[in-house]
Amino acid sequence: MTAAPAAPVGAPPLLAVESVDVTLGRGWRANRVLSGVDLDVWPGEIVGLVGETGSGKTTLARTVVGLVNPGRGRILLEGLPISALRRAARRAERRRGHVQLVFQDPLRSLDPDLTVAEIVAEGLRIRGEAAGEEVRRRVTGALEKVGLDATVLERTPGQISGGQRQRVSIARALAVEPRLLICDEPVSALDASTRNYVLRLLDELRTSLGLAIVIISHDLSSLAGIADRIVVLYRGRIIEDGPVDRVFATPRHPYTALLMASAPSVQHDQPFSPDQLRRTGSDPVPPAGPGACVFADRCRFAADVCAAQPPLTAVGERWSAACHRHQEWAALAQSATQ
Amino acid sequence: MAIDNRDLWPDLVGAARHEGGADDLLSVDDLHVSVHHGAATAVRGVSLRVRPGEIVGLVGESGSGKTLTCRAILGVLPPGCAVERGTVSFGGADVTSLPRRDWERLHGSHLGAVFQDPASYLNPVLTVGGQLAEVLRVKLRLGRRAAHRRSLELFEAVGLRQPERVFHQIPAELSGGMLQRVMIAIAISCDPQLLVADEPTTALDVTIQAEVLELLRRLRDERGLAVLFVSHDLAVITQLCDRIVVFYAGEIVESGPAEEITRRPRHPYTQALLRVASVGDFGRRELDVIAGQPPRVGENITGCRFAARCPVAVPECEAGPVRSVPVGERHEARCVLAARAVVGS
Amino acid sequence: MSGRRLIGPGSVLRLPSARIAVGVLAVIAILVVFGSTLAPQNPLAINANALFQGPSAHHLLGTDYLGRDVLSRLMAGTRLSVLTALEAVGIGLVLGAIPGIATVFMGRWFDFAVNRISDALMTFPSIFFVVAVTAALGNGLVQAMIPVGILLAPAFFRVTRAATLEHARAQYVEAAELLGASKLHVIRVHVLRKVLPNIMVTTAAMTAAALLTVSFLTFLGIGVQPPTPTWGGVLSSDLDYLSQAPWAPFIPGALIAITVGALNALADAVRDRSGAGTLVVAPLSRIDPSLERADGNRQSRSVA
Repeated sequence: MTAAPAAPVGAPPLLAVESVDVTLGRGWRANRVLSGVDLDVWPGEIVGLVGETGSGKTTLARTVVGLVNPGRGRILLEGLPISALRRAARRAERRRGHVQLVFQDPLRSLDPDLTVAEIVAEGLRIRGEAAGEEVRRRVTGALEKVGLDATVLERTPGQISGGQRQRVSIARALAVEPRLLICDEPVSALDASTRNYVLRLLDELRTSLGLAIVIISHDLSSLAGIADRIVVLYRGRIIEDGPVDRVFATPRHPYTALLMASAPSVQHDQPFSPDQLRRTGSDPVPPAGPGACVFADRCRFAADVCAAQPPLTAVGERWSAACHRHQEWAALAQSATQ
Repeated sequence: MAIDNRDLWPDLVGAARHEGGADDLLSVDDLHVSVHHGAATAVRGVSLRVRPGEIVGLVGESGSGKTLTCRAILGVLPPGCAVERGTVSFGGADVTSLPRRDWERLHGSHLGAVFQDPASYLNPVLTVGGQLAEVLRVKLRLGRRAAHRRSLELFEAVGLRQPERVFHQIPAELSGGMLQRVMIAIAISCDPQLLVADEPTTALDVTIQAEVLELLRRLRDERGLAVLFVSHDLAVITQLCDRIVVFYAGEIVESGPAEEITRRPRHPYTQALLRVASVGDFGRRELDVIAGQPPRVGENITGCRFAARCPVAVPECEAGPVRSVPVGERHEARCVLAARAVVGS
Repeated sequence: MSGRRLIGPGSVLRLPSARIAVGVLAVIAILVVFGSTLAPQNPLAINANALFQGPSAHHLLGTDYLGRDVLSRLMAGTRLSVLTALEAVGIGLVLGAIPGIATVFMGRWFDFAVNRISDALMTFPSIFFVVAVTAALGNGLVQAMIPVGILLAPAFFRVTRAATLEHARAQYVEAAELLGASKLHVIRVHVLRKVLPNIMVTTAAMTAAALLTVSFLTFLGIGVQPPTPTWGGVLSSDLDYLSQAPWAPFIPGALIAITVGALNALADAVRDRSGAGTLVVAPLSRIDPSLERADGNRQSRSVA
């Protein structure tokens, strides 16, 4: 377990997501999945992106890698606006392999008819730069990095375990030597022990390869083990973004607190209980309407001011939250009896 | 008001049912379940008890036998699986090899079940209210209006806001959490004494999961409903359950009160699980792993089935079958070292 | 989910129906190549003294209205009938399957245009089309099968397109795209081998249809110059003389039916074995029913 590396002040971020809006579907089925998302990722840091169903976290991952085009805003990789690239230029940029996505379900993201060797080598074959022996060497190298040995080379995804599949998926991404790895729920389908193994693996890769990693998860507690930064998504907006220790010690957004309070735990040492944070029938009706805070209808502390969507404001060093009442709600929660 | 279904099941329940007694509601004794048409034994000598109003959690990795045990209790083993030995008793009556017709009387009225993916257990083209009302009409012989009223009451009891609105919605219009509440409503609609829940919250968001767990607790408090809760997530189990039963490789390796299990686990596997599970401790901590892999289903092993991965195994562990010994009040562990510690003290 | 490797002949032949079908087709194949030489009599030899004879030692299937040996005529006619059917299928395959794959990967307008062409072809009145083409190109069976092939193309197109669609949106294709793969790479590496079973099934079924069409056309007299023997031609002349030899049409009819049946049985066997053309359902994982895979962003469980 390594300490959070401090990115040099003023250094440009590796990844910059600027005011990205994404709408999926057309016509009456159009659905605004992401609104005004701003996110920076610096080299060597592990960012935990947390969100529940409907938060847009998978869409954000897909937008960063270009599987989805933003309606507004742009994605910059080392200063280059990759979201504007199309066709051949986009393919060329992808072949450089700077950003890779590890999908959520390795059963679906690994071709069931190919062997592990073919899968991991695919990026290299597409690049066409290496041949034969060299490819083989780099494939075994990538597999070694994830703790798999040559015995899996000739197996197909159906012939290895779930944890091994997920590691093959990571190895495929590593084979092209990316700078940024985005992992969409990499450990949700694994049991607790394997989950920790893979998370530790990602931590070590960050250190040994200087990778930046974005881990998307719905499970806060596993992120606590390795993330440097936590970014919380709710209904397509970032509502909190800050250093993991501080956010967990004193969350500044009531939704973040609700996520933490809801997480099942043995210690029961949360600052709040879910009941202190959930709306009850006796709370005043929250402001509704298109411009209101996305969390207002679930928020116990919604007030008239929440009729306007709060912007992300700084609440500490490298820490921001989107809540008008970020200074008062905690005290209100403490005094709430139920 | 609990609807007394004794008249629907006279031969089986009979005098064995005591009001509020401490007799076991569900008792499983030395259950062996084979899979692959008898080729392998996936559940070996499982014994457990559920008392009225108790919430018991079965926890273990996939393949540990907890789900098969649960299915055997419900009488819905998958094809190719069969109970080889042992008994399942409900309310004092043996239900292990119950004929289908009697199972149908048992289900709903005495035993309710909730599973992981609610959408696949509901008809996608019928309204959820209609499906609940149908259950009430068939099992409780209620008329249409009475069934409708009772459906609304049940929806409210499971925490669905705007029950009248939900009644007329089809599954596709409801979120996962709401669907699971509907399933719970259907499961408790005929006032069963025991609710069997197999990974009901695994597919739900964590905030919704918390609400559903609280709902189960509330149902136990208000109705005296006993719950058998199966999950791979130890944190969820410790959050909800009064008693915890730990499965490993087809056996129960430890069982006892939740407090005891979490504070003083006696079996090395339980200890490892606790270290490894996401236990909600938000301080930075080491991410522990349990080295090795569990044995293949049905693999025959002499001695303790965890010995190969156990950090404190001794030669005696692999010598012969390890019995489950009491290590505390209603607390048992299947471990040679735990047994020694008891003898020594 | 088990991988669908290219099905081998081994797995298909495990089905008894497939074995019988392959046996029948093997005999037909031999006749295609050696039919004329293996025929016991000269298929063109007219014998005015032996008209409409029933089966006998000399003429195993009897003689026709000109005293020619029926068995020899059918054996010799196999080549023309079967090869022209294969010609039509080949044309249909190339004209149908290639656009079928291409439309999924080229733009929307291309897709739209090709689909409309396919729709139009399906509405063509087939006989008129064939007659028109043979009028233009000459009345030979080879020429006649070209329009038949064109009319078979939409079936190949739709089947191939549907199969390709199913695989083109897979996540592993997205993963390949993220690595900078070109469309050709995706087709070559990921799509082609998965679509092949569907194409094979369609080929077998369409060969049966083409064979029937050949028989029909030669029955009508299109594209055949007498006295060249073809299956349909034999059937046609048999029907002309039904009163004299009522048993006669059954023989070529049975031959056509058996061959078509064998082709369809083979198609079914390939379909059974490969799962082509069926819904892909996520299977229940080994023992533990709680491992059933869920969809969307729900968690699923697996043995690590």
